[in-house]
Amino acid sequence: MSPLHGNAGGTALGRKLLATTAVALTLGLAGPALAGGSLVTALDMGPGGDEDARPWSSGAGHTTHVKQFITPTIFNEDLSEIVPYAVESWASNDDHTVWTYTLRDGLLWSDGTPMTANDWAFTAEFMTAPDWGGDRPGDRNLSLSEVAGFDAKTAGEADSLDGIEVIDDRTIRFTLSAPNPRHFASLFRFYILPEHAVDFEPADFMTTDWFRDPSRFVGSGPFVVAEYAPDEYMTLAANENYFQGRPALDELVIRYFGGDQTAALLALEADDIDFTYVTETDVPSLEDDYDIFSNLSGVVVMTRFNYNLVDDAFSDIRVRQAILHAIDRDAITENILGGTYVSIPCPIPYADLWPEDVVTYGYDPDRAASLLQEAGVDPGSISMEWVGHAGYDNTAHNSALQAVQAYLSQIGINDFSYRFVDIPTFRASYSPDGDWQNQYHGFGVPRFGNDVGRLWSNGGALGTGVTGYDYDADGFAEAVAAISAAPTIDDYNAALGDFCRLHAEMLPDLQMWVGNRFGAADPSIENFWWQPAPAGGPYQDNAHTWAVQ
Amino acid sequence: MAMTEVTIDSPAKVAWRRFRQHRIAMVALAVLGVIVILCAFAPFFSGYDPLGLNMAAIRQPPSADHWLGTDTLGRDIWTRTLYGGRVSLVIGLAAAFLSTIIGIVLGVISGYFGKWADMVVMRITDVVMAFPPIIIMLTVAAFTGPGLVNVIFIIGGLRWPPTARLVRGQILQLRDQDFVTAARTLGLTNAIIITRHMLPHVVAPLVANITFAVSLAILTEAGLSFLGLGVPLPTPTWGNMMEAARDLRIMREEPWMWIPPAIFTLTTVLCINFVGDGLRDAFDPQQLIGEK
Amino acid sequence: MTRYIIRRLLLAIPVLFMVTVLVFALIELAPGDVVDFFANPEVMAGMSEADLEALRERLGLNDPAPVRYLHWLGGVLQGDFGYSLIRSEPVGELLLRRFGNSMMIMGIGLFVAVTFGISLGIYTALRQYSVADFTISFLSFVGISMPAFIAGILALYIFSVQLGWFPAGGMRSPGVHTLGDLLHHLILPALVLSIIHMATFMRYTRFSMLDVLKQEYVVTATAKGMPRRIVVMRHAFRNGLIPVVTMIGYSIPELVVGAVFLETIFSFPGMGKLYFDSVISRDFPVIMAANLVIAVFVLAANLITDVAYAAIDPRIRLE
Repeated sequence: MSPLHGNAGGTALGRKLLATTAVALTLGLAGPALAGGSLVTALDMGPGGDEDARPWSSGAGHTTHVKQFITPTIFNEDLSEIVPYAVESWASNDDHTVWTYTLRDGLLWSDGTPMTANDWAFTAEFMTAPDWGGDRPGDRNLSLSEVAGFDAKTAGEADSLDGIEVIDDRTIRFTLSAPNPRHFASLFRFYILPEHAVDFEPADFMTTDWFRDPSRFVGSGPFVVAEYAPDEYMTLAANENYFQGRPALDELVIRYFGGDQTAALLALEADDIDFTYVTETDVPSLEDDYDIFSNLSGVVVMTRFNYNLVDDAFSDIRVRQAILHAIDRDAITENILGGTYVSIPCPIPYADLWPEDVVTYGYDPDRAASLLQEAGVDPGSISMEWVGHAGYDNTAHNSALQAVQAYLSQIGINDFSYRFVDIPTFRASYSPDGDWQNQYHGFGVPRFGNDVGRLWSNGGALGTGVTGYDYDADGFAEAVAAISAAPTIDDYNAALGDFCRLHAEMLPDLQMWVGNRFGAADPSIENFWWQPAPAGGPYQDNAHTWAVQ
Repeated sequence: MAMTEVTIDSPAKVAWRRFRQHRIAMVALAVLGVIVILCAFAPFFSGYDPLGLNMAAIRQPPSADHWLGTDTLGRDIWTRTLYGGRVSLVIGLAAAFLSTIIGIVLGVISGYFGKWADMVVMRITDVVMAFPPIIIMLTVAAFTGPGLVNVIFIIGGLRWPPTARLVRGQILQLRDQDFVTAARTLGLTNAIIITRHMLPHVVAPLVANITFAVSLAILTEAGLSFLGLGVPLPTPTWGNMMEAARDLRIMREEPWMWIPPAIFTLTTVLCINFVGDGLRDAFDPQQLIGEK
Repeated sequence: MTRYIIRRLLLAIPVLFMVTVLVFALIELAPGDVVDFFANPEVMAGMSEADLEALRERLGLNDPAPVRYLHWLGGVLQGDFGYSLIRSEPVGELLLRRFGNSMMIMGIGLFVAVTFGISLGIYTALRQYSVADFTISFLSFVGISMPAFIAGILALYIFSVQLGWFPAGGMRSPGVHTLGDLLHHLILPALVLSIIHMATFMRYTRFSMLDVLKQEYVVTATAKGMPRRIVVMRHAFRNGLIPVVTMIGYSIPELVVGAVFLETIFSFPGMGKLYFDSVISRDFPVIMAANLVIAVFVLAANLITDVAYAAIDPRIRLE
């Protein structure tokens, strides 16, 4: 049997916990007796913000979804581990193929109906219907693809999922098609839907108004939808039946800004909203008047090479090393990115996981020049174009890349350029078989999720091959497999460390930096908690305790 | 109505003489000249490299070393403004020139020859006007990549419809006036009638149009970079320097980064406008008559 | 005149057809499709190539382009604009709402721009080279020498953040549904929009008035002792208006979809932002329908302009 849940992970790098809010973060702690009030936020303003208010088929927006629905498990408040939420406990058999979950006692839907394991099973069957209409199956796959019978069910060859069995009202059993020692970590985006209230077919998932219609919507989170004004805002009202107690707020308004941070920041300063995500360059001018929430984004920014281009100088590791040595990443993160980014030795963003003996590539232009010489490569013959997507087209990254350009020209690489393109162009033109050379972009690497392996394995939408780019090196597949197979968080962290060491040694792509992300809240909000999480989590933010003075 | 041939001096000479008397236009021309010289010979007016970053001098306010301060990479703003003017002036003037030429040619064909030529040209104009430029820009960007020439062709190639319609409107008004009929009766060729007798009347609205085309091109260039098509950084342009103010911190706390290119753009556009004023007066056919 | 209008309306059909074919072709040529947009390049959360392929199949993106175009055209002819691929909403409803929003802001903006632009244009034409002429010219050029986005940020910073006169963006205060609240939100973006466009109308009016004021018939009318105000209004103004009318026609599509940066900074849900978002996500049903609406607008504006030419100047004959 596995432990109930893992030990606490290390402290996140660069974390600046707010002393006042930290107290209220323990799960289940009831909010102060401040009742009433309305809070207006721009909760999903971060990269990939979502205005569709529709879980299970959004690239992001989990900060909002988790206000309306509970999930079996959830990231804790600082994203260091996955903790129980709707479930009370779990257990697995010895080879981690059969998992049994027990729901908390007395869970109610917002209309007062009890939530049972049948709702959970119903949701699983609903999402795997062959004609399910969702257009982003990522969360569905994360939650269910390892359940036995998933392929048959989604292909329409089976009527139900073999691997799901309701034992009683509070107990459900998952049978997996392959062992997973941390199956509970696959359930943090499993928004359970109410079987008795869902009045639409799986095929109509994207077209139904159910998720936005207060007269039909039934949820289980601290809030329920009260008004949805498309493109403008969504008003959520307190859910009297939330299992941790009625929220202190009467109303939580999520205003939409179409993804523009400057617009949201101006609204914050004009006192129209109480909270928004802010960019690193805004922090100095906000620190005095606002509570700043900050944490490591977990999104590693790096430069990838296309090894499919056969006569590429970059297939020589010395050339790749030379490029890293030529760029003063510390100076760039410190001076240009305002100290809010940190250069990293490998694409694992968490400093406590870096092995002491990891190879680092400090600023050393002489070494860079001699490495190029050893490799027999004339820097003047190197041509580089780094392409990123629109999500990075901001002052900070534009400045950083112009600095990279200047550094590279110091060792004679003069033919360097970069550009940002929209997402479909990025995906279509810069996929593994495309005729591109370098990609500059980020990967979300959550501390304890199951996404890490996908970056360097065959999964994921980027294609096949060990890295997705036909780069081949001994030991990569094994290192990735070791991460997936780690039974405890200690093993998992150790496997990440091994991967970090191997990556730094082989350098299949160039790790650049990882940033902190920031949120600014009006000091009048009490118990508020926000933190950057890839795609918005979800994580436990105890929204039922939030209050306004 | 009398012809310009009556005067002894050539029309150009008369125009220049009249233009010189126009004090504001002369001042504007001089200022424009100074801006052009500053930009064209930028290396003589600045000791800094427009691309040379300096980590030790980031975000510095104006000082003796850096007259207009430095940007987020420690580059000298004065230097970048001058070098940026090279690109922006080329884009602004070339795109305005391109759209004006296309507009005049099509407008004249449409207005003067009428009938099916008018029908075809005006329907093409309708089609071009009905395209929000962004979709064309995006597609072109995907195939050709960013670059100065593309920017000029995209901006110039899409801005001509109002010019064409303006010219057409003016030509329609003139076509049946006495002096044109007279010229035609005299057996003058269409080319001479159009260039000598009709186009001078079109100058007034065109001048306004060119002024706007220049400022629009300078500003559009910056907007294009959002579609991956503008002039690539780190090459400075007035447009992309001004866009730095999208960052709220730069907008309110470090105005030296974006106000200089804004002032240069404003001054350039104003000067072009005042020069246009002067040109309009100088080429005014009515006033030429009065002078004979 | 009626025959001319009918002929132009008939001619609009091939033009609209051309526009939709060209727009469709451009979307086809642009790299990637809406499914590429769905695959988040950052998170990589478990979407496989097979999922993407299945999605393409379901959305009909695997059909040959001509088939998809005809399918779209067939729907439009029956009044069905399809479903937005990314917004989970029928395109008709979506466009109606966003277009309505745009019209409010555009209506106010255009009205202010045209009224003030033309008035100031006449005023400066009558007082050519006076101090007032220069001051007004200078101020109007500030508006067109600054990117719209920056002008919007400045306006918001001064009038919303510092002075607190107007709300910082949005269209309504959450939960408040009154006309007063709506107008309070509309004024600032509409004014910025009008300042950006005012210079255009002003300069065209000024130039064209100057031109007209020197024409023989105006001079004659003045010589006959007609009051200057009457001369200006009755004779000069009518003819001076022609280039201005052209520019108003041209401004309409620009006002509808060109306001993207202004809508962005004011978080205002109008057509510009919708069009921009649809293009960068390859949401082709929305792009196509929006373009059709814009094209209809442009054609109508051009037709009205041409008819106005003839109405203002009897020498122009419509053929």
